[in-house]
Amino acid sequence: MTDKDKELIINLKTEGKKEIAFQLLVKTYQQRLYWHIRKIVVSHDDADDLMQNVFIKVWKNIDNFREDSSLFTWLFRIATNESLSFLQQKKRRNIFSVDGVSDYLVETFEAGAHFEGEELQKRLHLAVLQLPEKQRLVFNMKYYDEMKYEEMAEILKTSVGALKASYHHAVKKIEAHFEGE
Amino acid sequence: MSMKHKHIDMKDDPDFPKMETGYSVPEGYFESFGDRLKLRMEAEPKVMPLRGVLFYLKPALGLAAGLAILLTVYLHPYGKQSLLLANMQNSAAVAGDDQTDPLSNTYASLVTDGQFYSALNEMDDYDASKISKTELADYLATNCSDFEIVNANK
Repeated sequence: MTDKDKELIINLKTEGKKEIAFQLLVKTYQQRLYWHIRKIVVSHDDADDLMQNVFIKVWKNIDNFREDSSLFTWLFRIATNESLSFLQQKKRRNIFSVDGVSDYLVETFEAGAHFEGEELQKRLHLAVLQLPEKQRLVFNMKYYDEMKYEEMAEILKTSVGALKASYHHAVKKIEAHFEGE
Repeated sequence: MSMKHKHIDMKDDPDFPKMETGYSVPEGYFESFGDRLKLRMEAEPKVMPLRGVLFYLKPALGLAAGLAILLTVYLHPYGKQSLLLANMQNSAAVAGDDQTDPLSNTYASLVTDGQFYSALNEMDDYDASKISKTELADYLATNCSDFEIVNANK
């Protein structure tokens, strides 16, 4: 953990300094967290809601943060869990679809709000959205965020080997998707 | 760029460069996010700290636990019979003129008047609006073991 993060955590746990420290935390991490959440849930409005939920959870639970991982890892773990829980709720509600989540995400993506990419980027997204949830998550974190496997392993509490296998399968499926077009 | 009939190797293919997502955000989104978050947090109902909840709940939990135990003993066929037998043996009104409910005698022996009225007063002071039913149920389900509830007023 960086010294800056250590100091931030101390201030977050100190009455009188908590509010200022929290504002700094939001400013420091909001963009990375937002894009991570957005890639999972696709919709800007959903990502905005979820990011607020994440920071509110951080505010309420900072005293419980045991500092056995970095601040960044902890935040990302919360963000990932919030996003996946959100999708689970969508899946439970979409009883008419075999894979309710993928259909929901594709529909949301094709609605087109807040997407300004080119055709190739769009086709890549549509291919990624067909992947099973875990593979999609790993692909996003590896390909778009360029995270190291060790970092991903800490956030997702999965082994590096499993993550590498997941990414490999994801890539193969996307390649096959493009070849089949 | 057409991708048809071409083997795509995303890891090594120079024609498949690393791409950005193409996602965008409304103008000024990140600049204003902190302010909107603050407004939302200020609008959320204040939640009592968990220690505060336990302070108000302990006497009530103790009382409820005591009553639950009594009812279990009273309603259980064996328990009721034993209770009645014990009272009959100990009571001066064995002859039957005294119609006192044996349960009240037993209850009084478990909880003193002081404890009982003290708990009632604290319940009167407790403002139920400070904590929602959902929060209370969640707190009890996740934070209080049966042992803790039974021993809350010890």
